[in-house]
Amino acid sequence: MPRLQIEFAKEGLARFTSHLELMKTWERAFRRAAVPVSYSEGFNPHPRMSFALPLAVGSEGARDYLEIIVKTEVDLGSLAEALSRALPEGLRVIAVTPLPDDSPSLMAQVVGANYLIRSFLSGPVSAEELNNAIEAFLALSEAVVTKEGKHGPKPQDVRPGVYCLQAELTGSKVELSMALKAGSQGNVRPEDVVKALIRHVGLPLKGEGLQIIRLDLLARGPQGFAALGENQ
Amino acid sequence: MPLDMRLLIENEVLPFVRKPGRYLGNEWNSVRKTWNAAQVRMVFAFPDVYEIGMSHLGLQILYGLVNQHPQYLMERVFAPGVDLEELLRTKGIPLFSLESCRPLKDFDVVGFTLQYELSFTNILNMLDLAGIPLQSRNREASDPLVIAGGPGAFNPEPLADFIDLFLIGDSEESLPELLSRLQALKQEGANRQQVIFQMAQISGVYAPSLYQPVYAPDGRLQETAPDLEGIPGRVAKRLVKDLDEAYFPLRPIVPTVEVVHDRIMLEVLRGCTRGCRFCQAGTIYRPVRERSQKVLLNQAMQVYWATGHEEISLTSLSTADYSCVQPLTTKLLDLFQEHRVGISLPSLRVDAFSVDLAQEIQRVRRSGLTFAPEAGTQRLRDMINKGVTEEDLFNAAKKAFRAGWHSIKLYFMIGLPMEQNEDLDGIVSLAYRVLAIGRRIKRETNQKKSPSVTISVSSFVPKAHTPFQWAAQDAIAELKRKQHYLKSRLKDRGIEVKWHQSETSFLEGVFARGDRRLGRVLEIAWNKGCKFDSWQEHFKFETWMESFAEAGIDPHYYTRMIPLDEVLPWDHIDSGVSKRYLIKEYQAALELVHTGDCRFDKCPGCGVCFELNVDVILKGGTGDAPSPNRIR
Repeated sequence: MPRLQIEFAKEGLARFTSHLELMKTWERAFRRAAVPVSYSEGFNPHPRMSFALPLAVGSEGARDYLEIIVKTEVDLGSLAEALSRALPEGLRVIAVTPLPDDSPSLMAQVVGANYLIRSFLSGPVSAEELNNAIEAFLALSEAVVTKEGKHGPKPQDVRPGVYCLQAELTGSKVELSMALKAGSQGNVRPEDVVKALIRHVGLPLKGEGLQIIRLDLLARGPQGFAALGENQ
Repeated sequence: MPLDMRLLIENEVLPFVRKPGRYLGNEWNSVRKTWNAAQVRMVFAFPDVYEIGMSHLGLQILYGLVNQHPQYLMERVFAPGVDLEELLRTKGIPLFSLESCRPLKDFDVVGFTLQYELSFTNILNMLDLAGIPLQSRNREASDPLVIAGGPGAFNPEPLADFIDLFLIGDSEESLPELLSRLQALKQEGANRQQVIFQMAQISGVYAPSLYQPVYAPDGRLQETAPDLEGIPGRVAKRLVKDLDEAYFPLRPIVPTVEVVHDRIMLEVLRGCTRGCRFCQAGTIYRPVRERSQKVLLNQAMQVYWATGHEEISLTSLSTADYSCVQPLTTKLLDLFQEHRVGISLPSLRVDAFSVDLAQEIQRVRRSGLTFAPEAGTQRLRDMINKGVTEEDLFNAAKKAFRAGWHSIKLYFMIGLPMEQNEDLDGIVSLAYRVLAIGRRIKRETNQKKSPSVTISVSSFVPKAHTPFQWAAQDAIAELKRKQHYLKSRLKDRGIEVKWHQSETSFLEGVFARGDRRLGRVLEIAWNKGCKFDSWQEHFKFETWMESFAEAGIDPHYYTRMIPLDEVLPWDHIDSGVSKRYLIKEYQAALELVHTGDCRFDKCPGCGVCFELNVDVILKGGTGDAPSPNRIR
């Protein structure tokens, strides 16, 4: 049965939708758009769809991915169009493309993610101080923060999972661009990196009320990282 | 201003609350109208959390109905979670509507639905969060009209101080009239008193401020009468005469957050005339009005494509009584098989027919089956007019276990009039015998899973407009004794017993038959922090008792046995069923006399058809109609 990759954006108010809610939302959108999604066998059949990487409540996703298995060949153009009409505000189809039968699942391919974070300042900082702080952070060999986990707080060294980090001052806010480890082999959350910047290099950032946009997902390409969508 | 409010809420409130998806107002099929284009603006207020409110069909009906008029606008608001409330209060943000993020004060009408008594403090809390004066008499021209409907409006008196207008009966009849009248009055520049006086002339609308209760020196109510000319002495309920003609929402809102009833609700019929003597719905929704299969099938298809839901529930007070239930379910199953849409029935009758039906629609036996014999002995079941025998229950249980269900849930009530220990023993005996049937069938069929029986025991609460409205409610200690009695006798690993907190039942009983004097208690209790009283983790019984004491009111006055000739606080609210009939039924109960269902038996003379000029509508004709022997 054909495998399809759906590239989509989760924007605006849709950022408040949790992963579980998002799955239900897609399932219902597929029904409304009459997409012939294949269902699993068994007592409790569920649609055969999987997401490349869940996105936390509160975060926007500029280029997110999910894959589905459909029962019959479908015209991709009209499928994308029908889906667009069936999706609620804030969810947008960017592209629907076929996936080769033998390619690993999207979930298995993801190793990293690019983020854009906007944070308010909790104190004054100059452009130079900001750059120095970022360099100081990148020079650290470890940066442990206390992470809020399902089973209470626990420490995590986020430094090895920060692949790339840049900062820019924009008025009363700092804009951080970062590439972080992500996927089934380990995950670093951008809010924890912000926490580490506050704690280990004293950046005056407000740790809460962050605006988080996941720009893209990264897979391992022939030469280093490649955007997941361009890795087929 | 509204843009700022939205940004404020999006950036400084929603990131910090649990399940923010409940407060966005952007769900699929939600309606966002241009504020300025609407002539009358109303917000539907559900006095409990989103997950419960969005499971309520009435909300979807009225939301669709009002919004289909270009000149009206309806938005929604629910009781905010405790975390959101705290943020709103510390930041000084008023309670806002979901769709346009407007303060409730900006609306012309705030309309609450009264689904259960223990939501009353939430109404006060929501008004306070909205900055609307709690008491009707303190509201000014700029304040919205605060109205309320739903089953709770049939005894409106405990809320009379806080609600400007009550809508009695099916609101899809009276609400459009009210909004249209309001539009005209707004244009005329009528003041608040004039508006309320004018509204009170609409049939089915009760304006409590125009009626004064008079009490005798001993505290008993003498009358509740209008004090102005042109106001009706009694307010009769409104009702939809023909469900096929009635509005039904074909594009209901699809919540993004998971809600309690997350499915398509098809209303197959309204009303029930089985005549259980404790049941308020059985009186206030009379008579039975069925919707035709053709209309239902059409609605099912349209709602499916508009929502993408994976389940359709056939809702009503008793769906197995729908005269076309069998052909309808078969057709729905056929129609929706390719879409993998399941069909579900919310309630089953205690008989083999219902199990057959459940078996047909529920191909996967995911959950257990629930039956409600209500009482443990034939004598007590006859007393409440629940026409169910032991044999019915055992046959149903046999069928269910044979068909592969492992767990059966039985609903019982304790504290019914005339109840004795022998009736409690009856509950115990039924539980064990049903379990024994399950075990025998397990052995016979070599099943692996052990059968289980859940006994859910609620406490009887006498309700207004029922034959038991005069009956005494058991004291808390007595209910606890009976619960303990049952618990100590139902000790088997195959039996689970669940019960309701008797303190909550007591408070429910006080308000269910309460009068206007309870308004003070409500306000005191809310002031002391009572809210979400139906949630065990929030319920503060001690605080309630302090509030009664402070108001100088003995709550037990409201749970006592009431003499038949005493004036009742809801006597001026007319359900269409005559008081004479309720008295007759009360006496029949004491004499253990059965009263038939007018769908199959002779008319018992409740009076509703004559009084409200309406007919019982059954769509099945003779062929499909349930036979009287299925409906004892």
